[in-house]
This record gives sequence, structure tokens and C-alpha cells, in this order.
Amino acid sequence: MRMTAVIVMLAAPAFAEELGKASSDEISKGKRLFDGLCAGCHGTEGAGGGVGPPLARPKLARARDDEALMQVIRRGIPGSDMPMARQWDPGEVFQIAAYVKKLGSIPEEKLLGSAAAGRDVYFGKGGCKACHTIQGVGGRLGPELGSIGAQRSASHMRRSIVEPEAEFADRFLWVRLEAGGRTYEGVRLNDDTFSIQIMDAGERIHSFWKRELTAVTEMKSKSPMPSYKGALSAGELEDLVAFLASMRGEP
Amino acid sequence: MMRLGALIVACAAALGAQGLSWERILHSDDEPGNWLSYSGNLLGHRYSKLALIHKGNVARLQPAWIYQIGGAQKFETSPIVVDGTMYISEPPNMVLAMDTKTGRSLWTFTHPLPGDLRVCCGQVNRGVAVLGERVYFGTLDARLIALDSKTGRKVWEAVLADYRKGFSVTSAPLIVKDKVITGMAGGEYGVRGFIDAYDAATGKLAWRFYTVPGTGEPGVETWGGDSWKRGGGTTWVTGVYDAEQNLIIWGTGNPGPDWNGDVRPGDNLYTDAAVAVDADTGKLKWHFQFTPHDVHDWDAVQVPVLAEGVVRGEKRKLLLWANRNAFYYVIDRTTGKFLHARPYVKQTWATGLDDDGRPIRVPGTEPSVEGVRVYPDVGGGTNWWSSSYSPQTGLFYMAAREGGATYFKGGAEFREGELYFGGGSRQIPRDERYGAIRALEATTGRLVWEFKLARTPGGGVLTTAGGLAFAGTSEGDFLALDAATGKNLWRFRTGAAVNSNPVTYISGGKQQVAVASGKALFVFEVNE
Repeated sequence: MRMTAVIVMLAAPAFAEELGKASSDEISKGKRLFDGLCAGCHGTEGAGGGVGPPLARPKLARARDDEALMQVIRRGIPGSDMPMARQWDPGEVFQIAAYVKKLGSIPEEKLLGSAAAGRDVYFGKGGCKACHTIQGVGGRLGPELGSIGAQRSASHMRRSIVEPEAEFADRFLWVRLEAGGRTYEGVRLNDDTFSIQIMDAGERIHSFWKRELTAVTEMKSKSPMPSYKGALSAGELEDLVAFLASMRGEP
Repeated sequence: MMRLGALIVACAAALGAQGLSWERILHSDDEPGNWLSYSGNLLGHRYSKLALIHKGNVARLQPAWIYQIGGAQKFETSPIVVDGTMYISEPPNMVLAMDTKTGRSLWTFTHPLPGDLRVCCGQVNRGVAVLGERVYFGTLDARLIALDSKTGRKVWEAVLADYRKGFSVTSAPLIVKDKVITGMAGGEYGVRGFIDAYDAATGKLAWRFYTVPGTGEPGVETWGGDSWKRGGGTTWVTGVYDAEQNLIIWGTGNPGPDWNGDVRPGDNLYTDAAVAVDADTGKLKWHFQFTPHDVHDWDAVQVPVLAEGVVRGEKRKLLLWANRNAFYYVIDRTTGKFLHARPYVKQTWATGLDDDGRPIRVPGTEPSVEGVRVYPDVGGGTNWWSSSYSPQTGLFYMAAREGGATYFKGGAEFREGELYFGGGSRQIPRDERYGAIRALEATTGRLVWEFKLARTPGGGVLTTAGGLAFAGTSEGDFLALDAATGKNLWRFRTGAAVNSNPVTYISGGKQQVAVASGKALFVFEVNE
């Protein structure tokens, strides 16, 4: 019995205590690990960078409590770009999680614009809904934006609007294909050894065997989205960002 | 009474009569209608003399039957086929006998597993071994089990080690004479690796070879302090048997912890190595270490390939090896002496190899806290899946991975039964990552042809006397290529990644090709 009890204790997670009680030494170790492994996607101090959402938020959608946060770090999020960090030992997972939790106390960037005014820019002058969907309304060519406020920082969104080619996900790569004397352009949906599928600007899906194609051009430096630089005033841009920042997947 | 007595006599006769003899396994090349060991023959060739499916009719290859499995684990089995019956493992730890004609299962055995398994990288199993009237397989809780091949009933069970300390078995056993040889896994848990030989009839341990030497043994000085106790060097892919020399040749895994080498100063023998041990005693005859003091997790757990060829002007017995560390090696298998190597994928960690085959490292390629970029990535130029050697073409076929990683160094605190990595790695954003099926000249490693893949593959290659090379992709295709040119002659969309090695055999007079992909075993034949 006692032997069994000892084994169970050893096998149990060594860090059952709360993240909030982490020492400053543990948190600074967590920062070092975070800067190496996590900041590339989540930004320095979790401010949001490219692929990963900002983590400097008091509430994280995929990590509602301490255990869930450590679980996300250990296991990743299947079906997303968040990988499994199985290589870190339990102490390191605790340190990273403690640091991420502390990032939640960093006050969020104050937004100067008005979300209500931004809504008018989005649906009016900006014409955003031609390509983007919010709450089931809008086009299909670009990413769905219903929870973009939780996924991206304001500065990232601001930059994406005026400089969309700076960074966009591989799944929105624009490609030009030539087949049977015709040219097809669109967002790449899938690309493997033998076939490719794209969605064109009219949301039509085209599927080809690669042997049918005479040319494939990947527009690696061109985003399908036009730049709004100069098209929106500085005030309109800030309003639009405020509106998008309010999109957190809540009805 | 008379009738009962006659029945007993008949039963006893049946018991003593049949089953798969060692002689048949040893000479498996003489009966290509069967697939009698993990790699098809004991030399690791994964090559078949069958030519009923050939370049002229492979375009008509169609599914004969498909067997679906459940669960969430990868299906990595490599079937064994004996006289029309196929034996496979199904994850996590089931064994089935199947009728190759219809795809119906004849029996199923399920090994119950404890809830607190320690397996780093999936509850997988790569297949079984057959000898006499027994089917042998290893379990995730580190046991070797013998089943009756007619009924699937358990005959004996041997415990290799305590699974709670991180030991497990994922590889198929190797039959050598009257022994069952098995490797083990757990290299991410700070275990000490070994190869075990069990008496096939009784399950009694005949010998154990530790891949990491202990106190008083030569090689222990290549570890700092007592770090050898947690040194890794696991043996999780099936080895081969050189009958002329009576040697078992096996690959060993990474030293532990993977990415932080500070706690284990030295070469860390015999990790990331080929070891040759006497088949009767388990005594080490020679070793060749591919990656001394590895800090990138480049296990040498590839299936060794034994062949003969002219190297440096002399006909020699060779060991051929496309290693995870990106180099293709040609080694003299009578001595373990290095003969030749060249990279077969992009690599940035070594400027070359010296005359003994020791890598000359590029400074600054060790993992760091900030991260350092190195090619290949942690998956390596290839991994556990089988390469193939075709005596017909003299070429070595393999599934290659191209791409680099940023390697990080982390803490290396050891806790028994817990993961012991000492760092991590990450793919390089916008890296040019891709895969290829490649054919190399066996004696030089020179590239003869390649068939490029959009994604890095995760399954092995089978070649046949029909002039074909079969391989799967992680995009969900199973391919037949012209073994001489690499031209794609046939393909089938399985719909999920192929994480296994194909086999071929005869069923009902027809040649079949079998491969596990996604959650199913696909069996193909030509419809005339």
C-alpha cells in the first residue's frame, strides 16, 4: 500500500500549485523560454506578432484556467498552428505558464477609435465584407473575422490593413495557374504532389491535376487583399481597428 | 474410446507437424509468395522477387480489400504473411490473423494496457514476428508476448522492464534460430537501452545486450559521471541478421537528454550507432557510431541494409545506411570499419567526415537557449521507416525529408518516468520543406533519380523484381514508381498519411501489395 502511494505521488504532476504563486525567479526563467520558443508567433511580451494570438490578455479563449493554460503549452491546439511542446519538462511548462499568466496583467493598448464608427467603415467605405465574413455575413475569399479581436493585436491589424503583404498565412497565398490556354487566379485552398485547388475572386472553386497545368505562379509577396493606405483617413483607420478589436467571437 | 484416442493422435500429429520453420525464414528469398519477416528477408532488403505485378500492368492495380481500424493512433504495422494468412498488429496493442483472400479476420488478440503508459510519441506498434506456430509481439507496457498462431491464445509473456520508468516496445521482433530478438523504446524518458533475446519456446531470457555500457565496461568513460544510467540508446526499430557471420546488426537511438548534452560529456557510446552482436551470446563484435555526442535527436534507428558490392576496388560485405543525420554510409560489415559516406539531403552541421567516418562538426550548431538553425530538422533526413535495396537494379531506395529546424537547449533535470528532453525545436518559418523518394547508387550514395513530394513523407519503400518501387506519402497517396527511372506509373488516393512500410506476397495465385494508411490496411492486386 505505502509503496503504491509513493509511486502515485511521484507520478502525479509535480506542480499542482497555482501559477499566481510562482516566484520571480520562475517567472524570469519562463520569460527566457518564452522569448526563445513562443515570441516568434505570439510577439515579445505576448503582444501578438503574426501567426499566434496576443497573450497579454487577462482572459485567454483557449486557456480558461491555470491547468488549461499548461495543457495548451504541453499539448498544443490540434488543427491549429500551435504545436505540442512535449520537449519541455513539467517545471519548464510551469515557468512558461506562470510568465504567460503574468502577461495578462499588462494593460491592453488603449484604442483611440470608435467601434461604432468603425462598423460603418467596415460595411461601407471599406467594402471589407466583400471578402470577409462576420457573424455569417460577407464574402468567403478572406479569413473570417468574427473573433479577430481575440486573435490579433491592434497594431497587427493596423499593419495588415495598410500593408497587407507584410504578413499573411500560407493558406491565403494568391496563385496564378495556366491550363488549356486559360489563366486562373485565386486563393490557394490546397496544394499537394498531384493536385491543386483554388478559389477565384468570384468564389468559384477550380481543381486541377498538376499535369494539366502549363504554369504555376505563386504570388509570395502579394496579398490577395488590397492596401488601404491612403484610401482611409487616419481617423477611419483607427475606427476600423477599434471595431475589429471588439470582434471577440461573442454574439 | 477408440475414436477419442484416434483424435488425440491426430491432434498430436498436427501439433508437431507444421508451422513456420527457421530454415524457411532464413531462406525467405526462395519463397517470395510469403513475407516471412519484418523486412521480407533477414538482410533488411524489403525487396521481393515477385514480378506478377510489373511495369506493364501496374496501372491496373486496384484494391482487393480494405481493413478498417478504430482509435486515434497511427497505424504503422508491417504485415507478416505465411501461406495465405496475414498477421498484423493494430494500435495500441491488438494482434490479428487475416485471410489474405477475403480480408476477414480469423482471430483477434487484445492485450489490456494500464492507464499510466509512458510513451512519448504515440501508442503505436510496427508489427509481429512468426516462428513455428507462434506469433510474437511487443507491448507498450514493455512485455513480449507469444500467441498461438492458429487461435490467437496467449502462450507466454515476458516482462522486459518496468513501463512506469519509461520502457516500452513499439517495434516488431526479429526471429533468429530458436530465439525472439526484441528492441525497446523510451529514449525520451532517461532509460538505458538494450536488445533482448528470449527462448522462443519458453519465453526465458537468453541474453541481454545493453547499448550503453555500465561501470567497468569499455565505453562507460564516454559518459560523464553516472549519466550512462539514463543514457538512452534505445532500439525501437527491428534489426537484421547476417547468417554468414552469425551477427545481429541493430540501430540505436539518441542519447538522453536529447538536446542538452552538458550532463553527458563524451561520445556517449553506443548511442546513434550500428551495433553487431553475436546471435548466440549477445556479445558485442563491433560498433560504428554515426553521431558521437548527438544533441539533435538523430536516432540511428533505421533498418540496417546488408549487401555486397565493390568499394575501394574490392568486393566487400557491406552495411548500407541512410542515417537520420543526413549522411548515407557504406560500412564494412565484417569489421564495422567506415568506407564511404555522403549527404543525401541538405545538412549544415558537419563540414564532412574524417577517414574513420567521424563527423567534423560546424562550430555553433549545438542547441542554445536563444535557438540555432540547423539542417536537417529533428525528424532528420529520414526516420524509422524502411529503405529498400533491389539486387535487380543495385539501387538503394529511401523516403527523404528536406528541411531545417531551430534547436533550443533547455533544462536537463531528471525525474524517473518523466520526459527527459532538455530542450526543443521548431520548424523554420517559410523554410523550403519538401520530401522525395530517392534512388541512390548503393555503393556510393550518388543520387540516381528522385520523385519529389510536396510534403515530407513518413513511410517506407518496397521494391520488386517487377521493376517497381512502392511508397506512400503523408499527403495520402500510395505510389508505384519505375524502379529504374522514378517515373510515376500508378497511384491510389488512400485519403490519409501513409505511416508504414509496404509488403508484397501471393494470395490465391495473385500478387498482392499491402500497406497501412491512415486508419486502414489497403491490399491491392491487378484485376485481369
